[in-house]
Amino acid sequence: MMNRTRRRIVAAVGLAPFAALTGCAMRRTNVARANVVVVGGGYGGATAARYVALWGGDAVSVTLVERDAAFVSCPLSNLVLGGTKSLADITRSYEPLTRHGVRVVHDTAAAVDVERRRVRLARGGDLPYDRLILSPGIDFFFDRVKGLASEEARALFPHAWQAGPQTAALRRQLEAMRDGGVFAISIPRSPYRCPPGPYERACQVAWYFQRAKPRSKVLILDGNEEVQSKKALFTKAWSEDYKGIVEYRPDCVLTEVDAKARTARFEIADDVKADVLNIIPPHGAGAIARSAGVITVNNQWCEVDFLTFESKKVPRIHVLGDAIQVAPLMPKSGHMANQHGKVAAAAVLAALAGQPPNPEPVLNNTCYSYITDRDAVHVASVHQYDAKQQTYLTVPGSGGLSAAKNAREGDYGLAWAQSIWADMLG
Amino acid sequence: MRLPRMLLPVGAAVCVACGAPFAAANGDARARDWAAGCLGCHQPAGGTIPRLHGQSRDELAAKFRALRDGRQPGTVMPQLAKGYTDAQIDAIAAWFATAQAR
Repeated sequence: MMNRTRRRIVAAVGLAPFAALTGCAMRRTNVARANVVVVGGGYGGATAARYVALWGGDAVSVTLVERDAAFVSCPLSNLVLGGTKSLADITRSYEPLTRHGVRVVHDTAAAVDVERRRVRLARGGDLPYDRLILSPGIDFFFDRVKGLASEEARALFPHAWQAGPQTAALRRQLEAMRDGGVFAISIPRSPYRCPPGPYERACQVAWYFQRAKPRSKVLILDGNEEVQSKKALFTKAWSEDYKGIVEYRPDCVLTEVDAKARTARFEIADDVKADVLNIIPPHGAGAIARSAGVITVNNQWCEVDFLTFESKKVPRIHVLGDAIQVAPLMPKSGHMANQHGKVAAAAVLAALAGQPPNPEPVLNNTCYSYITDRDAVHVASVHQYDAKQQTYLTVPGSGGLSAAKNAREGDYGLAWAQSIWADMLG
Repeated sequence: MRLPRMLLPVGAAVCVACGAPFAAANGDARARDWAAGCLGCHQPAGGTIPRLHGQSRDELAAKFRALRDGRQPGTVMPQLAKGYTDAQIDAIAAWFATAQAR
Protein backbone atom coordinates (compact mmCIF):
# COMPACT_ATOMS: atom_id res chain seq x y z
CA MET A 1 0.00 0.00 0.00
CA MET A 2 3.00 2.32 0.17
CA ASN A 3 6.52 2.18 -1.12
CA ARG A 4 9.34 0.86 0.99
CA THR A 5 10.97 4.20 1.71
CA ARG A 6 7.75 5.71 2.88
CA ARG A 7 7.01 2.66 4.96
CA ARG A 8 10.32 3.16 6.76
CA ILE A 9 9.53 6.79 7.39
CA VAL A 10 6.14 5.99 8.79
CA ALA A 11 7.59 3.21 10.90
CA ALA A 12 10.21 5.57 12.29
CA VAL A 13 7.65 8.24 12.97
CA GLY A 14 5.45 5.71 14.65
CA LEU A 15 8.19 4.38 16.86
CA ALA A 16 9.73 7.59 18.14
CA PRO A 17 6.67 8.82 20.02
CA PHE A 18 5.99 5.38 21.46
CA ALA A 19 9.53 5.35 22.80
CA ALA A 20 8.89 8.71 24.44
CA LEU A 21 5.57 7.46 25.77
CA THR A 22 6.98 4.38 27.43
CA GLY A 23 10.38 5.77 28.37
CA CYS A 24 12.11 3.06 26.38
CA ALA A 25 15.13 3.39 24.14
CA MET A 26 14.71 3.99 20.44
CA ARG A 27 15.78 0.52 19.39
CA ARG A 28 12.78 -1.35 18.15
CA THR A 29 13.41 -4.42 20.31
CA ASN A 30 13.28 -2.30 23.44
CA VAL A 31 10.09 -0.46 22.63
CA ALA A 32 7.02 -1.74 24.39
CA ARG A 33 4.08 -2.13 22.08
CA ALA A 34 1.03 -0.06 22.88
CA ASN A 35 -1.99 -2.19 23.79
CA VAL A 36 -5.15 -1.49 21.88
CA VAL A 37 -8.16 -3.54 22.94
CA VAL A 38 -11.29 -3.60 20.79
CA VAL A 39 -14.55 -4.94 22.21
CA GLY A 40 -17.10 -6.17 19.68
CA GLY A 41 -16.31 -7.71 16.29
CA GLY A 42 -19.12 -6.26 14.21
CA TYR A 43 -18.89 -3.78 11.37
CA GLY A 44 -17.31 -1.13 13.61
CA GLY A 45 -15.04 -3.15 15.90
CA ALA A 46 -13.62 -5.63 13.39
CA THR A 47 -12.83 -2.73 11.05
CA ALA A 48 -11.14 -0.74 13.81
CA ALA A 49 -9.08 -3.75 14.91
CA ARG A 50 -7.99 -4.52 11.36
CA TYR A 51 -6.99 -0.92 10.60
CA VAL A 52 -5.17 -0.31 13.88
CA ALA A 53 -3.13 -3.44 13.14
CA LEU A 54 -2.61 -2.47 9.49
CA TRP A 55 -1.62 1.13 10.12
CA GLY A 56 0.07 0.61 13.50
CA GLY A 57 2.25 -2.30 12.44
CA ASP A 58 4.83 -3.37 15.00
CA ALA A 59 4.12 -0.39 17.25
CA VAL A 60 0.82 -1.81 18.51
CA SER A 61 -0.60 -5.00 19.89
CA VAL A 62 -4.28 -5.33 18.92
CA THR A 63 -6.71 -7.63 20.73
CA LEU A 64 -10.32 -8.04 19.60
CA VAL A 65 -12.76 -9.40 22.16
CA GLU A 66 -15.74 -11.02 20.46
CA ARG A 67 -18.47 -13.09 22.07
CA ASP A 68 -19.48 -15.14 19.03
CA ALA A 69 -17.43 -17.77 17.19
CA ALA A 70 -18.24 -16.29 13.78
CA PHE A 71 -19.46 -13.00 12.33
CA VAL A 72 -23.10 -13.00 11.20
CA SER A 73 -24.17 -9.96 9.18
CA CYS A 74 -27.31 -8.01 10.00
CA PRO A 75 -27.28 -6.47 6.49
CA LEU A 76 -28.72 -9.13 4.12
CA SER A 77 -30.26 -11.02 7.06
CA ASN A 78 -33.74 -9.98 5.88
CA LEU A 79 -33.07 -12.10 2.78
CA VAL A 80 -32.75 -15.08 5.11
CA LEU A 81 -36.25 -14.26 6.39
CA GLY A 82 -37.45 -14.03 2.79
CA GLY A 83 -35.91 -17.44 2.16
CA THR A 84 -33.49 -16.57 -0.65
CA LYS A 85 -30.32 -16.56 1.47
CA SER A 86 -29.15 -18.91 4.21
CA LEU A 87 -27.46 -17.98 7.47
CA ALA A 88 -24.30 -19.60 6.06
CA ASP A 89 -24.38 -17.06 3.21
CA ILE A 90 -24.10 -14.18 5.69
CA THR A 91 -21.63 -15.79 8.12
CA ARG A 92 -17.88 -15.21 8.01
CA SER A 93 -14.94 -16.49 10.06
CA TYR A 94 -12.77 -14.26 12.25
CA GLU A 95 -9.76 -16.37 11.33
CA PRO A 96 -8.46 -14.07 8.53
CA LEU A 97 -8.21 -11.21 11.04
CA THR A 98 -5.62 -13.18 13.00
CA ARG A 99 -3.45 -13.33 9.88
CA HIS A 100 -3.62 -9.52 9.74
CA GLY A 101 -2.05 -9.18 13.17
CA VAL A 102 -5.17 -9.08 15.33
CA ARG A 103 -5.38 -11.37 18.33
CA VAL A 104 -9.01 -12.53 18.52
CA VAL A 105 -10.27 -13.58 21.95
CA HIS A 106 -13.67 -15.25 21.92
CA ASP A 107 -15.09 -14.15 25.23
CA THR A 108 -17.46 -11.55 26.63
CA ALA A 109 -16.08 -8.31 28.03
CA ALA A 110 -17.70 -8.33 31.46
CA ALA A 111 -16.47 -5.02 32.85
CA VAL A 112 -14.09 -2.13 32.27
CA ASP A 113 -11.85 -0.88 35.08
CA VAL A 114 -11.36 2.69 33.91
CA GLU A 115 -8.86 3.56 36.65
CA ARG A 116 -6.53 0.64 36.03
CA ARG A 117 -7.28 0.61 32.28
CA ARG A 118 -8.20 -3.05 32.09
CA VAL A 119 -11.01 -5.01 30.47
CA ARG A 120 -12.23 -7.92 32.58
CA LEU A 121 -13.25 -11.01 30.63
CA ALA A 122 -16.26 -13.12 31.60
CA ARG A 123 -14.24 -16.33 31.62
CA GLY A 124 -11.55 -14.76 33.77
CA GLY A 125 -8.48 -12.67 33.15
CA ASP A 126 -7.85 -9.03 32.37
CA LEU A 127 -6.70 -7.26 29.24
CA PRO A 128 -4.69 -4.08 29.91
CA TYR A 129 -5.12 -1.25 27.44
CA ASP A 130 -3.52 2.03 26.47
CA ARG A 131 -6.54 2.73 24.27
CA LEU A 132 -9.86 0.91 24.38
CA ILE A 133 -12.28 0.85 21.44
CA LEU A 134 -15.83 -0.17 22.29
CA SER A 135 -18.04 -1.22 19.43
CA PRO A 136 -20.66 -2.92 21.56
CA GLY A 137 -23.65 -2.78 19.24
CA ILE A 138 -26.98 -2.70 21.01
CA ASP A 139 -28.72 -4.25 23.98
CA PHE A 140 -32.49 -4.32 24.34
CA PHE A 141 -34.65 -2.71 27.01
CA PHE A 142 -37.02 -5.68 27.32
CA ASP A 143 -38.40 -4.31 30.57
CA ARG A 144 -39.69 -1.15 28.87
CA VAL A 145 -42.45 -3.23 27.23
CA LYS A 146 -44.81 -4.83 29.74
CA GLY A 147 -44.86 -8.61 29.35
CA LEU A 148 -41.77 -8.81 27.16
CA ALA A 149 -39.12 -9.53 29.79
CA SER A 150 -40.16 -13.14 30.50
CA GLU A 151 -38.31 -16.04 28.88
CA GLU A 152 -41.56 -17.22 27.33
CA ALA A 153 -42.32 -13.85 25.70
CA ARG A 154 -38.78 -13.42 24.42
CA ALA A 155 -38.85 -16.88 22.82
CA LEU A 156 -42.27 -16.25 21.31
CA PHE A 157 -41.47 -12.78 19.94
CA PRO A 158 -37.98 -12.90 18.41
CA HIS A 159 -36.49 -9.51 17.54
CA ALA A 160 -34.06 -10.84 14.91
CA TRP A 161 -32.36 -7.44 15.24
CA GLN A 162 -29.06 -9.19 15.94
CA ALA A 163 -28.47 -11.72 13.18
CA GLY A 164 -27.93 -15.39 13.99
CA PRO A 165 -30.12 -17.67 16.11
CA GLN A 166 -32.77 -14.92 16.35
CA THR A 167 -32.97 -14.78 12.54
CA ALA A 168 -33.34 -18.56 12.34
CA ALA A 169 -36.05 -18.51 15.02
CA LEU A 170 -38.11 -15.90 13.19
CA ARG A 171 -37.73 -17.72 9.86
CA ARG A 172 -39.00 -20.94 11.49
CA GLN A 173 -42.07 -19.09 12.77
CA LEU A 174 -42.77 -17.71 9.29
CA GLU A 175 -42.43 -21.18 7.76
CA ALA A 176 -44.74 -22.69 10.38
CA MET A 177 -47.39 -19.97 10.03
CA ARG A 178 -50.71 -20.92 8.39
CA ASP A 179 -51.66 -19.40 5.06
CA GLY A 180 -54.01 -16.53 5.80
CA GLY A 181 -52.06 -15.59 8.92
CA VAL A 182 -50.74 -12.17 9.98
CA PHE A 183 -47.07 -11.24 10.42
CA ALA A 184 -46.68 -8.02 12.40
CA ILE A 185 -43.46 -6.09 12.99
CA SER A 186 -43.16 -3.53 15.79
CA ILE A 187 -40.63 -0.70 15.27
CA PRO A 188 -39.27 1.30 18.22
CA ARG A 189 -38.97 5.07 18.27
CA SER A 190 -36.03 6.58 16.37
CA PRO A 191 -33.10 6.55 16.62
CA TYR A 192 -32.85 2.78 16.32
CA ARG A 193 -30.42 0.37 14.60
CA CYS A 194 -30.79 0.31 10.79
CA PRO A 195 -33.53 2.82 9.91
CA PRO A 196 -34.70 1.10 6.67
CA GLY A 197 -34.34 -2.44 8.09
CA PRO A 198 -37.88 -2.97 9.34
CA TYR A 199 -39.39 -1.80 6.06
CA GLU A 200 -37.06 -4.04 4.05
CA ARG A 201 -38.09 -6.89 6.34
CA ALA A 202 -41.75 -6.20 5.59
CA CYS A 203 -40.95 -6.42 1.86
CA GLN A 204 -39.01 -9.67 2.24
CA VAL A 205 -41.71 -11.36 4.30
CA ALA A 206 -44.34 -10.14 1.82
CA TRP A 207 -42.26 -11.56 -1.05
CA TYR A 208 -42.19 -14.92 0.73
CA PHE A 209 -45.92 -14.81 1.47
CA GLN A 210 -46.75 -14.02 -2.19
CA ARG A 211 -45.14 -17.29 -3.17
CA ALA A 212 -45.75 -19.59 -0.21
CA LYS A 213 -48.79 -18.23 1.69
CA PRO A 214 -50.62 -15.84 -0.65
CA ARG A 215 -53.60 -15.16 1.65
CA SER A 216 -51.35 -13.88 4.44
CA LYS A 217 -50.75 -10.29 5.55
CA VAL A 218 -47.85 -8.14 6.73
CA LEU A 219 -48.62 -5.42 9.25
CA ILE A 220 -46.04 -2.71 10.00
CA LEU A 221 -46.57 -1.18 13.43
CA ASP A 222 -44.33 1.88 13.46
CA GLY A 223 -43.52 3.59 16.76
CA ASN A 224 -42.79 6.70 14.70
CA GLU A 225 -45.11 9.09 12.92
CA GLU A 226 -43.90 8.13 9.45
CA VAL A 227 -41.58 5.81 7.51
CA GLN A 228 -38.06 6.63 8.71
CA SER A 229 -36.00 5.83 5.60
CA LYS A 230 -36.49 5.53 1.81
CA LYS A 231 -40.12 6.46 2.41
CA ALA A 232 -41.24 7.03 -1.19
CA LEU A 233 -39.56 3.82 -2.39
CA PHE A 234 -41.01 1.61 0.33
CA THR A 235 -44.46 3.18 0.10
CA LYS A 236 -44.47 2.48 -3.64
CA ALA A 237 -43.43 -1.15 -3.04
CA TRP A 238 -46.25 -1.68 -0.57
CA SER A 239 -48.89 -0.13 -2.83
CA GLU A 240 -47.67 -1.83 -6.03
CA ASP A 241 -45.49 -4.95 -5.53
CA TYR A 242 -47.26 -5.95 -2.34
CA LYS A 243 -50.70 -4.43 -2.82
CA GLY A 244 -53.20 -6.08 -0.52
CA ILE A 245 -50.46 -7.77 1.51
CA VAL A 246 -48.63 -5.00 3.38
CA GLU A 247 -50.37 -2.49 5.61
CA TYR A 248 -48.49 0.37 7.26
CA ARG A 249 -49.68 1.92 10.55
CA PRO A 250 -47.83 4.93 12.03
CA ASP A 251 -47.87 6.06 15.70
CA CYS A 252 -47.92 2.56 17.16
CA VAL A 253 -45.84 3.03 20.31
CA LEU A 254 -45.69 -0.41 21.89
CA THR A 255 -46.45 -0.59 25.61
CA GLU A 256 -47.36 -4.23 26.26
CA VAL A 257 -47.34 -7.70 24.76
CA ASP A 258 -49.58 -10.57 25.80
CA ALA A 259 -47.84 -13.86 25.04
CA LYS A 260 -50.95 -16.01 25.58
CA ALA A 261 -53.14 -13.93 23.30
CA ARG A 262 -50.28 -13.12 20.87
CA THR A 263 -51.39 -9.54 21.11
CA ALA A 264 -49.52 -6.22 21.06
CA ARG A 265 -50.87 -3.17 22.88
CA PHE A 266 -49.98 0.46 22.19
CA GLU A 267 -50.14 3.91 23.76
CA ILE A 268 -53.01 5.00 21.51
CA ALA A 269 -53.42 2.63 18.54
CA ASP A 270 -55.74 -0.39 18.62
CA ASP A 271 -54.52 -3.76 19.90
CA VAL A 272 -53.05 -6.08 17.26
CA LYS A 273 -53.29 -9.86 17.33
CA ALA A 274 -50.81 -11.60 15.04
CA ASP A 275 -49.76 -15.15 14.20
CA VAL A 276 -46.12 -14.09 14.09
CA LEU A 277 -45.26 -11.04 16.14
CA ASN A 278 -41.78 -9.62 15.53
CA ILE A 279 -41.01 -7.15 18.28
CA ILE A 280 -37.94 -4.94 17.85
CA PRO A 281 -37.69 -3.69 21.42
CA PRO A 282 -36.37 -0.25 22.31
CA HIS A 283 -32.59 -0.47 22.58
CA GLY A 284 -29.42 1.40 23.40
CA ALA A 285 -25.65 0.97 23.52
CA GLY A 286 -24.46 -2.54 24.43
CA ALA A 287 -24.00 -3.42 28.09
CA ILE A 288 -20.22 -3.00 28.26
CA ALA A 289 -20.70 0.71 27.50
CA ARG A 290 -22.64 0.97 30.75
CA SER A 291 -19.85 -0.71 32.71
CA ALA A 292 -17.32 1.66 31.15
CA GLY A 293 -19.48 4.65 32.08
CA VAL A 294 -19.59 6.05 28.56
CA ILE A 295 -23.38 6.19 28.13
CA THR A 296 -24.27 9.88 28.40
CA VAL A 297 -27.55 10.51 26.53
CA ASN A 298 -30.95 9.41 27.78
CA ASN A 299 -29.35 6.42 29.52
CA GLN A 300 -29.14 5.03 25.99
CA TRP A 301 -26.35 6.33 23.72
CA CYS A 302 -22.69 7.42 24.02
CA GLU A 303 -21.52 10.91 23.09
CA VAL A 304 -18.14 11.01 21.36
CA ASP A 305 -15.70 13.61 20.09
CA PHE A 306 -16.35 13.21 16.38
CA LEU A 307 -12.73 13.89 15.40
CA THR A 308 -11.51 10.84 17.30
CA PHE A 309 -14.61 8.91 18.47
CA GLU A 310 -13.17 9.21 21.98
CA SER A 311 -15.85 9.22 24.67
CA LYS A 312 -16.82 12.70 25.85
CA LYS A 313 -16.89 11.33 29.37
CA VAL A 314 -14.08 8.79 29.79
CA PRO A 315 -10.62 9.43 28.33
CA ARG A 316 -8.82 6.73 26.31
CA ILE A 317 -12.09 4.96 25.50
CA HIS A 318 -13.40 5.30 21.94
CA VAL A 319 -16.94 4.28 21.02
CA LEU A 320 -18.17 3.30 17.56
CA GLY A 321 -21.15 2.20 15.58
CA ASP A 322 -24.77 1.92 16.64
CA ALA A 323 -23.88 2.69 20.28
CA ILE A 324 -23.08 6.36 19.71
CA GLN A 325 -25.23 9.45 19.87
CA VAL A 326 -25.24 10.15 16.15
CA ALA A 327 -24.58 13.39 14.29
CA PRO A 328 -27.49 14.97 12.36
CA LEU A 329 -28.73 12.65 9.56
CA MET A 330 -26.12 10.02 10.41
CA PRO A 331 -27.73 6.56 10.23
CA LYS A 332 -27.00 3.72 12.61
CA SER A 333 -25.82 1.41 9.82
CA GLY A 334 -23.15 -1.23 9.34
CA HIS A 335 -21.52 0.81 6.59
CA MET A 336 -21.38 3.85 8.87
CA ALA A 337 -19.85 1.75 11.68
CA ASN A 338 -17.15 0.60 9.25
CA GLN A 339 -16.45 4.27 8.51
CA HIS A 340 -16.33 5.12 12.24
CA GLY A 341 -13.85 2.27 12.69
CA LYS A 342 -11.33 3.75 10.30
CA VAL A 343 -11.51 7.29 11.69
CA ALA A 344 -11.14 5.87 15.21
CA ALA A 345 -8.22 3.62 14.18
CA ALA A 346 -6.35 6.59 12.74
CA ALA A 347 -7.14 8.74 15.77
CA VAL A 348 -6.05 6.07 18.25
CA LEU A 349 -2.70 5.67 16.48
CA ALA A 350 -2.24 9.43 16.30
CA ALA A 351 -2.98 9.75 20.02
CA LEU A 352 -0.55 6.95 20.90
CA ALA A 353 2.09 8.72 18.81
CA GLY A 354 1.37 12.03 20.55
CA GLN A 355 0.11 13.58 17.32
CA PRO A 356 -3.10 15.46 16.55
CA PRO A 357 -5.83 13.56 14.71
CA ASN A 358 -6.71 14.17 11.07
CA PRO A 359 -8.62 17.48 11.42
CA GLU A 360 -10.87 16.82 8.42
CA PRO A 361 -12.36 13.33 8.59
CA VAL A 362 -15.10 12.47 6.12
CA LEU A 363 -17.60 9.63 6.32
CA ASN A 364 -19.83 8.17 3.66
CA ASN A 365 -22.83 5.88 3.86
CA THR A 366 -24.31 3.52 1.32
CA CYS A 367 -27.19 1.30 2.25
CA TYR A 368 -29.08 -1.12 0.01
CA SER A 369 -32.55 -2.44 0.82
CA TYR A 370 -34.07 -5.38 -1.05
CA ILE A 371 -37.61 -4.82 -2.27
CA THR A 372 -37.81 -8.28 -3.88
CA ASP A 373 -35.35 -11.19 -3.97
CA ARG A 374 -33.34 -9.40 -6.68
CA ASP A 375 -34.33 -5.75 -6.85
CA ALA A 376 -32.85 -3.25 -4.43
CA VAL A 377 -32.90 0.48 -3.70
CA HIS A 378 -30.19 2.56 -2.05
CA VAL A 379 -29.72 5.58 0.13
CA ALA A 380 -26.33 7.32 0.11
CA SER A 381 -24.82 10.25 2.00
CA VAL A 382 -21.52 12.04 2.69
CA HIS A 383 -20.74 13.48 6.11
CA GLN A 384 -17.92 16.04 6.37
CA TYR A 385 -16.56 17.07 9.77
CA ASP A 386 -17.46 20.67 10.62
CA ALA A 387 -14.83 22.16 12.92
CA LYS A 388 -17.05 25.03 14.11
CA GLN A 389 -19.95 22.83 15.14
CA GLN A 390 -17.70 19.88 16.07
CA THR A 391 -19.98 17.42 14.35
CA TYR A 392 -20.50 15.82 10.95
CA LEU A 393 -22.78 17.57 8.49
CA THR A 394 -24.12 16.12 5.27
CA VAL A 395 -22.95 18.04 2.21
CA PRO A 396 -25.81 19.98 0.57
CA GLY A 397 -26.62 18.55 -2.86
CA SER A 398 -24.85 15.25 -2.18
CA GLY A 399 -26.38 11.88 -1.38
CA GLY A 400 -29.82 10.65 -2.28
CA LEU A 401 -31.99 7.70 -3.18
CA SER A 402 -32.47 5.33 -6.10
CA ALA A 403 -35.05 6.52 -8.63
CA ALA A 404 -36.74 3.11 -8.48
CA LYS A 405 -36.00 -0.46 -7.48
CA ASN A 406 -33.71 -2.25 -9.90
CA ALA A 407 -31.79 -5.50 -10.35
CA ARG A 408 -28.46 -3.77 -10.97
CA GLU A 409 -28.47 -2.38 -7.45
CA GLY A 410 -29.53 -5.79 -6.22
CA ASP A 411 -26.21 -7.04 -7.61
CA TYR A 412 -24.38 -4.07 -6.09
CA GLY A 413 -25.88 -4.81 -2.70
CA LEU A 414 -24.49 -8.34 -2.72
CA ALA A 415 -21.13 -7.08 -3.99
CA TRP A 416 -21.12 -4.41 -1.28
CA ALA A 417 -21.48 -7.12 1.36
CA GLN A 418 -18.60 -9.18 -0.01
CA SER A 419 -16.41 -6.06 -0.17
CA ILE A 420 -17.13 -4.73 3.29
CA TRP A 421 -16.72 -8.17 4.89
CA ALA A 422 -13.31 -8.41 3.19
CA ASP A 423 -12.50 -4.87 4.35
CA MET A 424 -13.30 -5.59 7.99
CA LEU A 425 -12.21 -9.22 8.33
CA GLY A 426 -9.56 -9.60 5.65
CA MET B 1 2.30 16.80 -11.76
CA ARG B 2 0.91 19.11 -9.14
CA LEU B 3 0.56 18.07 -5.53
CA PRO B 4 -2.85 17.81 -3.91
CA ARG B 5 -3.65 21.41 -3.13
CA MET B 6 -4.44 21.17 0.55
CA LEU B 7 -1.52 18.97 1.49
CA LEU B 8 0.98 21.73 0.85
CA PRO B 9 0.07 24.22 3.58
CA VAL B 10 -0.65 21.47 6.10
CA GLY B 11 2.64 19.77 5.35
CA ALA B 12 4.44 23.06 5.74
CA ALA B 13 2.80 23.82 9.08
CA VAL B 14 3.58 20.42 10.56
CA CYS B 15 7.08 20.65 9.17
CA VAL B 16 7.79 23.70 11.31
CA ALA B 17 6.44 22.04 14.41
CA CYS B 18 7.89 18.56 14.22
CA GLY B 19 10.45 18.13 11.48
CA ALA B 20 10.25 16.83 7.95
CA PRO B 21 9.50 13.13 8.50
CA PHE B 22 6.40 13.99 10.52
CA ALA B 23 5.16 16.25 7.76
CA ALA B 24 5.50 13.48 5.23
CA ALA B 25 3.72 10.99 7.43
CA ASN B 26 0.91 13.37 8.34
CA GLY B 27 0.17 14.39 4.78
CA ASP B 28 0.11 10.76 3.79
CA ALA B 29 -2.16 9.84 6.69
CA ARG B 30 -4.79 12.33 5.63
CA ALA B 31 -5.00 10.96 2.08
CA ARG B 32 -4.81 7.45 3.50
CA ASP B 33 -7.75 8.12 5.83
CA TRP B 34 -9.91 9.59 3.07
CA ALA B 35 -9.07 6.76 0.68
CA ALA B 36 -9.87 4.22 3.41
CA GLY B 37 -13.45 5.50 3.28
CA CYS B 38 -13.73 4.10 -0.26
CA LEU B 39 -12.44 0.63 0.62
CA GLY B 40 -15.67 -0.56 2.25
CA CYS B 41 -16.98 -0.96 -1.32
CA HIS B 42 -13.92 -0.70 -3.57
CA GLN B 43 -11.72 -3.62 -2.57
CA PRO B 44 -8.47 -4.33 -4.42
CA ALA B 45 -9.92 -7.61 -5.74
CA GLY B 46 -12.45 -5.64 -7.80
CA GLY B 47 -15.44 -7.38 -9.39
CA THR B 48 -18.96 -5.99 -9.67
CA ILE B 49 -17.72 -2.88 -7.86
CA PRO B 50 -14.60 -1.69 -9.70
CA ARG B 51 -11.19 -1.62 -8.06
CA LEU B 52 -9.48 1.75 -7.66
CA HIS B 53 -6.02 0.47 -6.76
CA GLY B 54 -3.40 1.12 -9.38
CA GLN B 55 -5.44 3.50 -11.55
CA SER B 56 -3.49 6.59 -12.54
CA ARG B 57 -4.10 9.64 -10.42
CA ASP B 58 -5.29 11.79 -13.31
CA GLU B 59 -7.60 9.10 -14.69
CA LEU B 60 -9.21 8.41 -11.33
CA ALA B 61 -9.59 12.09 -10.43
CA ALA B 62 -11.16 12.73 -13.84
CA LYS B 63 -13.66 9.89 -13.36
CA PHE B 64 -14.50 11.13 -9.87
CA ARG B 65 -15.20 14.63 -11.23
CA ALA B 66 -17.19 13.30 -14.19
CA LEU B 67 -19.45 11.44 -11.74
CA ARG B 68 -19.70 14.50 -9.51
CA ASP B 69 -20.52 16.86 -12.36
CA GLY B 70 -23.14 14.62 -13.95
CA ARG B 71 -21.09 13.82 -17.03
CA GLN B 72 -20.92 10.13 -16.17
CA PRO B 73 -24.09 8.30 -15.08
CA GLY B 74 -24.19 5.87 -12.20
CA THR B 75 -26.22 4.77 -9.19
CA VAL B 76 -24.54 5.61 -5.89
CA MET B 77 -21.37 7.32 -7.05
CA PRO B 78 -22.83 10.47 -8.68
CA GLN B 79 -24.50 11.19 -5.32
CA LEU B 80 -21.46 10.36 -3.18
CA ALA B 81 -18.99 12.23 -5.42
CA LYS B 82 -20.88 15.49 -4.82
CA GLY B 83 -19.91 15.26 -1.14
CA TYR B 84 -16.14 15.44 -1.67
CA THR B 85 -13.96 18.55 -2.13
CA ASP B 86 -11.54 18.96 -5.01
CA ALA B 87 -8.65 18.59 -2.58
CA GLN B 88 -10.06 15.32 -1.26
CA ILE B 89 -10.65 13.99 -4.78
CA ASP B 90 -7.04 14.74 -5.75
CA ALA B 91 -5.62 13.25 -2.56
CA ILE B 92 -7.73 10.09 -2.83
CA ALA B 93 -6.81 9.63 -6.49
CA ALA B 94 -3.12 10.10 -5.68
CA TRP B 95 -3.31 7.54 -2.87
CA PHE B 96 -4.93 4.87 -5.04
CA ALA B 97 -2.45 5.51 -7.86
CA THR B 98 0.39 4.28 -5.64
CA ALA B 99 -1.58 1.83 -3.49
CA GLN B 100 -0.91 -1.86 -3.56
CA ALA B 101 -3.33 -4.50 -2.34
CA ARG B 102 -2.85 -5.34 1.30
